[in-house]
Amino acid sequence: MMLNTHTPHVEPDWAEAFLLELRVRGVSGRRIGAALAEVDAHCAEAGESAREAFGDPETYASALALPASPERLPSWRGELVSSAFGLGGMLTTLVGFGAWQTDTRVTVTTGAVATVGLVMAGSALIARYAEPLLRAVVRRWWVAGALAVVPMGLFVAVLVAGSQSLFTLPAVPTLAGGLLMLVVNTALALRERDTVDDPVVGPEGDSGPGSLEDGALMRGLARLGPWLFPLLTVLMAIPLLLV
Amino acid sequence: MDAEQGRAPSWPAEWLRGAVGVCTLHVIAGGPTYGYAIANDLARAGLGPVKGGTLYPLLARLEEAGLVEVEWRAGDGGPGRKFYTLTEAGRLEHERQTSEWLDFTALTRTLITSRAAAGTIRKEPS
Repeated sequence: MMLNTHTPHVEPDWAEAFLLELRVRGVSGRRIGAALAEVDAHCAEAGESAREAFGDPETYASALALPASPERLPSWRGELVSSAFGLGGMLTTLVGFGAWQTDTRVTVTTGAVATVGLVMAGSALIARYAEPLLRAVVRRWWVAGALAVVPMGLFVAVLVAGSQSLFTLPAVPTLAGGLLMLVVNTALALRERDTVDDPVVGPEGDSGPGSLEDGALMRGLARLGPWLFPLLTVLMAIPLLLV
Repeated sequence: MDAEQGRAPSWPAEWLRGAVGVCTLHVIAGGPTYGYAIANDLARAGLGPVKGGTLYPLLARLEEAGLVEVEWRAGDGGPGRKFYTLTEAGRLEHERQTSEWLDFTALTRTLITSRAAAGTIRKEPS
């Protein structure tokens, strides 16, 4: 799926690589839109392709040396914190709910404690290396797949291996704690969406040159985003209700 | 491109890198203008084709340094154009660079047109 930036005189793959490189560098949406519109205007008049006139898109993005907008990079960290609350909240709610259903206590195993440690260490690593990681994900699709699958596999292995019971927790407070974490996750994600929404807009506004067209899918995902973990929790709790 | 009417268009790249800054400031000093028109003016002056990948990063640096103001205007039936105008700081920078460049070129000209041996210490032939 190619991005539509309303720049008809620029090769779509060039425009996409240029936009993604500037995004990874934390450049604001307005500056990206203006840079794209200027490339389009030059190509239209010169009758040259973007690659002929400007060379490699990533080299050109780097040569422009546009400043990173201060609020963009920390936003990745904010997203990470809210995702950690979401994931933790989902799992805690589910085990709490399961224990409450069967009138038992929640057993915390060595594997569960180790997994929490791994998630925290992993999050810190991602926050520290956000920029090179993003660049790798954007350039090579399999990196995104590996980043999703490898940690999941590792967590499952650690959970299965560390089955020794450490302590137990009462069902209802665990359930309440999990729900609270989900509320924190959604609140953080909603605030994040409102404060760091930074669309790529060209100098002539929404559908002018340099403005990134949001597909229906992207708009839907953006609206759904903050509710993702609560929704997943409900979906995964349904089988527990049926048991 | 309707350009390259001047002298030989292929000057050494390292000479162009040195000269393109002061020349671009000079073109903008002539009044509000935009990227493609600047490239054409430079080519017409005999500097040869200046690629977008060289010119626009330079314009971006001028903008970030506050030496130019930018304004988007409608193009002739095509996409809008980003016009550049020198600010007061840009005008002073243009004067400074022009004066330095003139001193530098006068110096190199004097040197390379003088008698080669004058005033230099030469290694004695062994």
